[in-house]
Amino acid sequence: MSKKNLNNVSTWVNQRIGFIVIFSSLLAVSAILYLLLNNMHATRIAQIRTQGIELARLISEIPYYQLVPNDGHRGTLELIKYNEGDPNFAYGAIVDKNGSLITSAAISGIIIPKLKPPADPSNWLAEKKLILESQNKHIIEFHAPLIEKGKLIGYARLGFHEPKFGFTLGQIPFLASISLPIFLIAALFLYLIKREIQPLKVAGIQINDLVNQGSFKQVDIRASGELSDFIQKFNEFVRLAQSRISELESNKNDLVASSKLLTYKQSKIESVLQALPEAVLVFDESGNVSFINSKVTSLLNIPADEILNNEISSWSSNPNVMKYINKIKNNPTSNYPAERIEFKPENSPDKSIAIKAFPLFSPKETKYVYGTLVLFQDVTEENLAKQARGEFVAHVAHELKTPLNVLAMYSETLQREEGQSAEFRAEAVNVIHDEVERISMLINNLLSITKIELGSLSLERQHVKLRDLLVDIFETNKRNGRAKELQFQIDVPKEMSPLYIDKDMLRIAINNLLTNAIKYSNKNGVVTLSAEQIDNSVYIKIRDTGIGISVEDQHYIFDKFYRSNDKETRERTGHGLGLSLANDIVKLHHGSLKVQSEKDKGSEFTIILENNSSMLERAV
Amino acid sequence: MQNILIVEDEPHIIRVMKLSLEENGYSINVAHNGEQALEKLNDGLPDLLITDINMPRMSGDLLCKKIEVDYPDRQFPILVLTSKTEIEHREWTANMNNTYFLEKPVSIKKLIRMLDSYKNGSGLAA
Repeated sequence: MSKKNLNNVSTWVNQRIGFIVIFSSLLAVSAILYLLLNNMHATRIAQIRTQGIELARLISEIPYYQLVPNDGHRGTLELIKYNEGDPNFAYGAIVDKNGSLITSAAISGIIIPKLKPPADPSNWLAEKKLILESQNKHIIEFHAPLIEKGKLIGYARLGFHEPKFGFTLGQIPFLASISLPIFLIAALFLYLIKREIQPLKVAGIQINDLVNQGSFKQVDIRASGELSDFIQKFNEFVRLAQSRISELESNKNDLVASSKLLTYKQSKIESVLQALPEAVLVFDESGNVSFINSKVTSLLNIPADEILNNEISSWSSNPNVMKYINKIKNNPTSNYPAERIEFKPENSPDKSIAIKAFPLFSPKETKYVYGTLVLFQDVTEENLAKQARGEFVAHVAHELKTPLNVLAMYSETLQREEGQSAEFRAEAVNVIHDEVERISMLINNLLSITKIELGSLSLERQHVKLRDLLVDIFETNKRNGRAKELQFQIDVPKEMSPLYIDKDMLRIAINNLLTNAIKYSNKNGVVTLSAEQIDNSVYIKIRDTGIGISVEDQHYIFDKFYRSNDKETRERTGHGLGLSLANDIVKLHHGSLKVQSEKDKGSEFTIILENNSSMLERAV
Repeated sequence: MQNILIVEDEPHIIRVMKLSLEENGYSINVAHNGEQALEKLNDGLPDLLITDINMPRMSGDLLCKKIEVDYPDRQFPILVLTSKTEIEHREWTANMNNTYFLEKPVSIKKLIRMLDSYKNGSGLAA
């Protein structure tokens, strides 16, 4: 039976306790009365039996003649009939040995039944139950033999009504006197039960209300005795449960707080890993990818899911990468490869990516390793820069060595005294001078560009007469370019306001432009240096009629180390630094450098500088 | 051995070498790059060829490879004279038959000594 059914039964019992008590007391009274009546009935039967058998025996001992009435002498049986006073007495009869009635006495309404006498002498004295069907009567008959002179002459028969089960009117007061106390006791019992149950009921209602409200409080009931003990224990239990609940709630709050803290910490670490400029991948102790930041997907061009949920073989087939990754993820505690490896991803072979693994040691227990952090770095630029640096150094070395070779050969030739004409000597001196200048210029350019790139160059401005500076540079270059049989022109106004500039720096810039103009001119070309001032702007122009620069190349000529692939350009030596440096210097002066050029027609470079007080202020 | 073809783009070096070698009885022909050198070879083979590596139009190493193909049975030695000192340049010259590497700056005296030695049949290696 389920708990709910049990509860229902219990409620049903509580509600009908009065009926149950009344019903029970009725049942008890009935049972007691039944037993009492039953006992009385049995006692009566026993009385009748004793009485009947004794009486039958007594009668059988009375002489026959006294039994049979004659001549106005009533028989003994009549006497018995009238004097017995027994309400159960039915009849008395004397029969001969064949059973024929000789005399009888019966109460009114009774017809004495005929009976065949028992043949067996052992049955002569006996009792027998008879049912007088016609009269609907139950009779207990006792018979005894009548013997005279040792001979059976007949029988005495005595009949008694069998007592009925039940009670008579006369017995009612007696029975009532027995039933009443039982009813009184039941009523008392009911009262006591009700009184005892009442606090339980209240407690039940209160607990029920608490359950319905969902609250958990102690029960407030005044009770005595065992119920008081029970309430006390119940309240004690509630108190314990309350403290246990609050303990659990506080534990739960602690757990929630620490879980929030953990989530926060994890988010913080993840945001740090996300913010790293490098692509980061983390393997846990079991070698599974547990984290990747967004840079991994963009760098490797592989969706995050593919990396997170799969073995490395599914996203990289490069054998070196597979070997490296498998080594570090399978042996997180073993020695890590100190070197990084580089590879080119299959989906973008132009890229170079470096991989380096770092074991994630526990900060407290360094023997324990949480896994491995793998850093992916895009080293494409780095490699290109390395390559460019290498090429640049080789180029610079060559550029330096070329004039050195000339110097070595000329000086060695000069050392020989014999056979050297004065003309050759003069030529040698000039060449040596020019080559030294060339080396000096290259070194200066290199130093300047390095300083500018490092940001360590500060302009040393002074008020400079532009015309003097330009003429000086022009004359030097004119000398250098004479071998090409060029036509040199200079057009600088005599009166120009002084410029507040770094003279040496601007000299390098203009010199580079003029050197280029000469270098890229063809025989009999014209190289022009001019300057003009319009309002507060000064325009310095270097123009040639040389090979010119294609439109495509014009985009790159100010990039460092850039040299055009143009055939005519390649015929001329150069280190790709001159224009880049000139541009940097002009920019440092807050000016601009423009180019106008047409292939095979020539080029014009214009330096535009502002010449006003604001420039002075900015410089200060 | 009289005729030497000098392949060089730097005019000053050409000038000094030409002057010094001619003084020592050599006949000098000049080409300013690989292309010009191949043209000159078409006109007639020299007794010895001196070439720079870093030149416009056709570099010295490319010239040497072309000569290997065009003149497989050449008798004249090639002297690679360059300021490019990278190891790979030494390697390819070493792998070529009858080809020698000489690093710039080179002493004119030393060069003449080598050429004289070769002329006398003692080989080019100084």
